[in-house]
Amino acid sequence: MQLSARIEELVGERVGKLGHWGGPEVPIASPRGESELAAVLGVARDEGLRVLPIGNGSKLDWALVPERVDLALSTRRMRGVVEYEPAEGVMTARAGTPLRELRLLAAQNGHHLSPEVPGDARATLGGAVSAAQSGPDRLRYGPIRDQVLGVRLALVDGRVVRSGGALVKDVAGYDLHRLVCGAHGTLGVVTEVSLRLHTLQPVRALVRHAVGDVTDGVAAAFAAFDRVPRARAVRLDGTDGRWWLSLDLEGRAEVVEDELERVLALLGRVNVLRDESARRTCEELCEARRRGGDWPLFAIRTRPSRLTEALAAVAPFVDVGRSRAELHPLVGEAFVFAEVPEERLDAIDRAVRSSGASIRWLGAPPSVRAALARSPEGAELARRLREALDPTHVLAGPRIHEGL
Amino acid sequence: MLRARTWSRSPRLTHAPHDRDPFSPPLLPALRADNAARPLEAGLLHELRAVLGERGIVHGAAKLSTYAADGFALFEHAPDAVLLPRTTDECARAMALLHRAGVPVVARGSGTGLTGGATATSGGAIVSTARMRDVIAIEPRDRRAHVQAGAVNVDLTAAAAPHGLFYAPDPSSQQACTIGGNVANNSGGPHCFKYGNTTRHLLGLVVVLADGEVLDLTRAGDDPSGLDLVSNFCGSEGTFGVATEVVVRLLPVPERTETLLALFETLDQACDAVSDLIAQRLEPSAIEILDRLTIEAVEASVYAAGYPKNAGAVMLCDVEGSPVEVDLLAADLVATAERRGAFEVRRAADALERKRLWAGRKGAFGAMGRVAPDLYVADAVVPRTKLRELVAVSTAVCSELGLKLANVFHAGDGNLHPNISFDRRDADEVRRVLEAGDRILAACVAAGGSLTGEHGVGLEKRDQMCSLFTQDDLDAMAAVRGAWDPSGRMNPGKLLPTRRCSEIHAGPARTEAVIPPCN
Repeated sequence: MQLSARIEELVGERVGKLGHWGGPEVPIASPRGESELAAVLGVARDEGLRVLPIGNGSKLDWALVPERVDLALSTRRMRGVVEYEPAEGVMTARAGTPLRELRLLAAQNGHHLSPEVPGDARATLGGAVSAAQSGPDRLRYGPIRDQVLGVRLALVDGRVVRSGGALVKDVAGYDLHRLVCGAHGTLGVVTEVSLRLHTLQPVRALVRHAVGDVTDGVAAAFAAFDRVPRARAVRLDGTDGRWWLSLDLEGRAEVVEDELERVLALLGRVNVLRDESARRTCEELCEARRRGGDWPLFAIRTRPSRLTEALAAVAPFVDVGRSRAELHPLVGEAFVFAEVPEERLDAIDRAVRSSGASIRWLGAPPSVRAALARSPEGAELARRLREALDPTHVLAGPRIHEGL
Repeated sequence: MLRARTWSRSPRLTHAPHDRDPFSPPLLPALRADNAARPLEAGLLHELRAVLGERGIVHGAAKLSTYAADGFALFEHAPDAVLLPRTTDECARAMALLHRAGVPVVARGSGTGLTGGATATSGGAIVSTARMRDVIAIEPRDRRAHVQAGAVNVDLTAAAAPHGLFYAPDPSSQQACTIGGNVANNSGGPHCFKYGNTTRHLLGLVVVLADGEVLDLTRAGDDPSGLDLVSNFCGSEGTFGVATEVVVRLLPVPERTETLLALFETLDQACDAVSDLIAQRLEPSAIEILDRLTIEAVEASVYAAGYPKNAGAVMLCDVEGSPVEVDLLAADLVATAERRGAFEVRRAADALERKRLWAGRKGAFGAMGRVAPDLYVADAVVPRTKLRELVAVSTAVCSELGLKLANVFHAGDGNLHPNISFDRRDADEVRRVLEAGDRILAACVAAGGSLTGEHGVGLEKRDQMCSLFTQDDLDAMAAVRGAWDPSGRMNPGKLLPTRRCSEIHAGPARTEAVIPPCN
């Protein structure tokens, strides 16, 4: 029987195609549950196929295009909440559930679900975990690995194993649930995730303040954070050479008013957006990280104190402020949108690294990303870990490189 | 098991006869001839001495007996040697020599662990971080610290304090325990309710693998480069390698901190108040409960904190933030406690009183030494909606077995610490304590909880892993362990069962199988 026909029989759906992702066009199998997923992996093993685990495919271009892919395995039909007891503060959901669905459900019960990511109507829980995607709320709530309390992971040999669980505190066994954060599906297929939830705050305010340049902006960001250390986000957005500092505040009414007073005393002239308009603008700012469906050309990560240095290293090659940039100085992160001729990317790459920062080429063409990829420290250990969980090399690789 | 007094060998205790499992250590094995330390081969010792210097090696039976147990004193086994490197490089060179000689390695910080994780159950070398105590750098603007693994928890916070920063994980043993040990166990503490266990504060590591290879997993930003090996290492209890340097996140000292003490007539009321706080999504930074027996012990000890002896239980909370935030949250806490039956809620008047209230909490384990010579500190996690139910199970089990139970625990996280007082010279009491521990853990797991919230698995709970995980789960974990340590020499016999679960389930009660009962 033909591969597509076999898979269609297993998953009860016509097999689609994964295209326009930088790699070859391949069939997509979308099982409805763990047993169908294991069966698809079984077929792949029998046929010697290389499988690419995906959610809805919104971040496939973050990682390398594997040497060979024969089949994409999507969790998009494995949806829904498995367990959510609001009084417990933990939510367990299937990997293919879009994050927005989970965020709205949590909000109805007084919880905030982190990370907030752009395009969350499509971005799946499993995809965000596998790509280690954090959002603008990271400053307050931490990276996605801090949200993940447990996972179920389908291994290529048909076993589905658990690490961690639905408890806020639990140290029994090795931590595989953080290991799969950012593994881009190279260790197994994440089928279920338990997340820590946070308190949904009743009042929101967004402070916007114009700053002269990046250096001033970063200094203002640090000074502001000293006064409002529970800010959701402290960011700098640069467009057409103009820079804006934004402070995303939340809490009870009295707390937010107090924080606004502190910020006003520091910054003087500011625009303050409140509640609905603050929320809307924050959502727009969040979405801006993926404007028009495109990820930033590159992202820089470094120590907060060295962010300006890393940006200065880029300056000879690209005018960051005149293009467009989103900076999170307190997190040490910068996303840069720019049109740069391909032949100059290598120089940017070298300049950023020599400043001690790391760089991820999110929006560059696959060939450029592959050319700039470097092996991270511990690559041999990482290879042994992949070998331990996928000894028959069913999962497509390589996906991971330094900076991911 | 907490050592409430200096360990002395009692001739009345002997090991159990069976030994199916090569790693199954007999109780008090020091009494057995074959458990005596076997000196390392002379050539190897000579080479190790060349790397570590004369003071870098401890050998000889008398000196090694100091290292025969950690805080889990029901079991002891002396190592064959203790190595004390001063740097990553010394550690790596020593590890390479041990690798060549095929000697098992147990990493050890201060030996305050409570599960036998730092005990050399099958002999070999202990690699101690006791001479790697430096705080290498505090980087205030980046809010991070770079320390040697042997740096003591409380010393790190002291070093960070002048910069207005602190290190959040605060185990009760923080005066002695090391950051490396905290990483190995993914340790917690009262304030982990708000801030999370060690893994949430860990930014980088330098690790020496079994064969002496050095992995520098410190990184440019907060995020891993490639697979998150640092997070995977955290909580691996010395089975992956020896951490020699650690980079952690520091947090700004809150503008204001208030400590509240709510007094309840019953433990049930206190548990319900905590479940209520969680259900309201209120977020103090610590929520602890101490029951009457604990209060009595603390008040009779040097840690006397002014806890009222007329209370059946107290709830101790810290509230942190800006003054406005603290006032609002404290008011909610008071209202909730009163609604749940608190007959009084006190606010610490000043920093001195706050310190005293917390010293009482942190000294509680030590204070229990007044109740009986030995203390079994259990560590279990339950869903936070089921606190009262599981605390009641602990009480019922201990009362059925005629044991004295005190509860002092991280209620906000659902992390129970039933403390059972006993006298290790009473063999039957030891058996009953272990049985109680097993039954309480089994009940917690059955209710959707876990075996450990912060102490780790070590030797004590190794076989009980079968009650929490499937064989497939454990096999996957074993595969990961094999990737880190292909030689199988890192802390052998710890954390993962050494037999199939089917075999363990067929056998007798679990902790007793690991540590056979005394006669």
